[in-house]
Amino acid sequence: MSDPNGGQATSSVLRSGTLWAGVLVAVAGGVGIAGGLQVPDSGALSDPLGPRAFPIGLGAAALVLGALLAISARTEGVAGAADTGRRRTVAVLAGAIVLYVALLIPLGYPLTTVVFLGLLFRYLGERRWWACAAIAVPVTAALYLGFAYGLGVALPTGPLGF
Amino acid sequence: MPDIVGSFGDLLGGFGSALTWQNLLFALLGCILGTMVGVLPGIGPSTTVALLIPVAFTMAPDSTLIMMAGVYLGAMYGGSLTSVLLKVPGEAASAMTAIDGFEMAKQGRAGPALAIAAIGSFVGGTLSVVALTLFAPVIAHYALAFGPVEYFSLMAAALLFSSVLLGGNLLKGLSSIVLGLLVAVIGTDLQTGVPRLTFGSNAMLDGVDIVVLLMGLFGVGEVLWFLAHKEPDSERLALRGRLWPSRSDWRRSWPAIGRSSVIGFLVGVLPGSGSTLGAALGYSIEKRVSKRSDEFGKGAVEGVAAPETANNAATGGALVPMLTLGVPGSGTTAVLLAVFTIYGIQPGPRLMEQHGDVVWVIIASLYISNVILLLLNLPLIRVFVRILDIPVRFLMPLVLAVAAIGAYSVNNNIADVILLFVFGLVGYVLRVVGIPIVPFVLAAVLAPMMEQSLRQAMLISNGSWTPFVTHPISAVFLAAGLFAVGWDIVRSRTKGRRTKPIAEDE
Repeated sequence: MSDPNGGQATSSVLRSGTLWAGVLVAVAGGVGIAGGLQVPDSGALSDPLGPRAFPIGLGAAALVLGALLAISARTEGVAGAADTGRRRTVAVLAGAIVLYVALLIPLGYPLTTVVFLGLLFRYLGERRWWACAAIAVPVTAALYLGFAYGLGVALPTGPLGF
Repeated sequence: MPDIVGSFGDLLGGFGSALTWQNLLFALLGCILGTMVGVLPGIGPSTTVALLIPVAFTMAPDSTLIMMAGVYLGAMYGGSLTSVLLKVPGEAASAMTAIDGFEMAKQGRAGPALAIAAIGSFVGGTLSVVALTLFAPVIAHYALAFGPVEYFSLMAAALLFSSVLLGGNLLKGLSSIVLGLLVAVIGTDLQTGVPRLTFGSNAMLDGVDIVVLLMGLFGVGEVLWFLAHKEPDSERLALRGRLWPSRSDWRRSWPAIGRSSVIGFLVGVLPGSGSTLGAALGYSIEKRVSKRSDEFGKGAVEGVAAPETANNAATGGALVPMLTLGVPGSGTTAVLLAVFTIYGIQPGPRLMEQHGDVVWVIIASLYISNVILLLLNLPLIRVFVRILDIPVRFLMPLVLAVAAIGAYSVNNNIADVILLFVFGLVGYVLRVVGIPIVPFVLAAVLAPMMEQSLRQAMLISNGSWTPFVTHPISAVFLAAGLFAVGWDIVRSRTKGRRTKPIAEDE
């Protein structure tokens, strides 16, 4: 099969995208079935289908679709997804997000968000620290004031106490 | 049949509410915000509307929905700016505009291209709202006869359509739907009170908040995807020369605008298809019927007029199933539907009957927003172009910070922030493996109503499945959905289809 996008490398990436899609969907299906089987059956006349049928049925459908996707990956030419993105960027962002969530309560929203934004600006290419701070601080303050005082959201304050 | 005069009276009532200075201000705010996000590559209308949801908690329903409708329309207008000047569509529905718009800009005709885009958007958008005004009451009237059987089949057909039209790959489209339905099952079953798919976690008893899900998939997921796949620096063309189109431009554009208004509206009505398909279809049909088809791709003005008209006409079309049947036609209308539920408004066939005041205010606001956008876009094109100067390195982290605070504000709970980022990663992974996100979102939004209808239908039939095929309306819906799937299978086998998923920004 011809590949207008450029040869074997692209094609194998496409295939692996579909293969991983199949694995992902099948795993979700397995989780759906396992979770559905744990649901007690109501057995009530007023509810012939009961609360188990939907998750189990969906889980089974996902399993079948996952298997079909995995099979189709073997013959797939160009209709898959090519991930040629920078995985390192995503990994760093994911790490930053995990840290952000972990520190949100102990350090509070204002402090954590300023640090989170400033470091991300820097990582994404802003070389001047003062520019990182000059944008991170007022934006965080505006968000905090808007949500805490404008919308009445009780945001975690941390050691700053406001 | 619904009373046309009565509908006209309802629309006038809607204008009465929409024309208050507060609501006009919200419409203006929504239009400006929408145009800005349309200009900015990487942030689509569904992302913006999702990020605005926390604001909805503090505002009246009509004001919120007016503002969000303004964002929706504005993004369709704004997308043309970057398409023409950068050849980078601000949102997916403007991708076709970039082909001829950028060529026109290279010839020093960026001004006429943008003016035709704005006027085409206005005409397409307005005509589609006229059609929405005329057809919505009729469809809602007949939909009132729907029982649980018909309703379930309608939603199933809508999801099947979306898997075909948005999936690119049918298996991935169907997988997206099943995953969306599965996520929506998590939590306490409302009919029996038993926990489902919580695996013993008390935090999951309330299920996944649809607001957090939408912000995660559209907001965080889009940011991750954009930063990992950012376009290289593009050639940027200055906005110079005359702004107003020539007489020849007008003569060539009007037929395209007329045809694409109809095409865009009809495509928009189909659940799941959205503005991107409307724009693509408008462009290809115009190329086929044009006497100057050889000029397409080299700066034909019809190549700008057709997709820009069609993508705006599709927004009115997408609101038809949402406002009359409670079935969203696109990612953005799915978010709007979620906003209805925040206000305790149950979407569905009775929406126009029970909350006609809100529905008619939204329809009236669409007319107003189209006028606002025309008035904004023609004189302020040069101002909006300046938005492109905001560096991505600042913009994308800001979206993450807004999403985080928005998710926290839903329940004042850190668990929602965690879920937000989890769904952001899920959204990113789905895109990496090629599973479209919009069918996932449509399924997650429709899942509770779908399951409720299914169980009610089974109760009425004493556990028998036959009513789904013996009730004529239900049978037609299911047959249409299955036909769409069958047609897709046959087509892909016979033609060795090489499509990529329709981008899902709208």
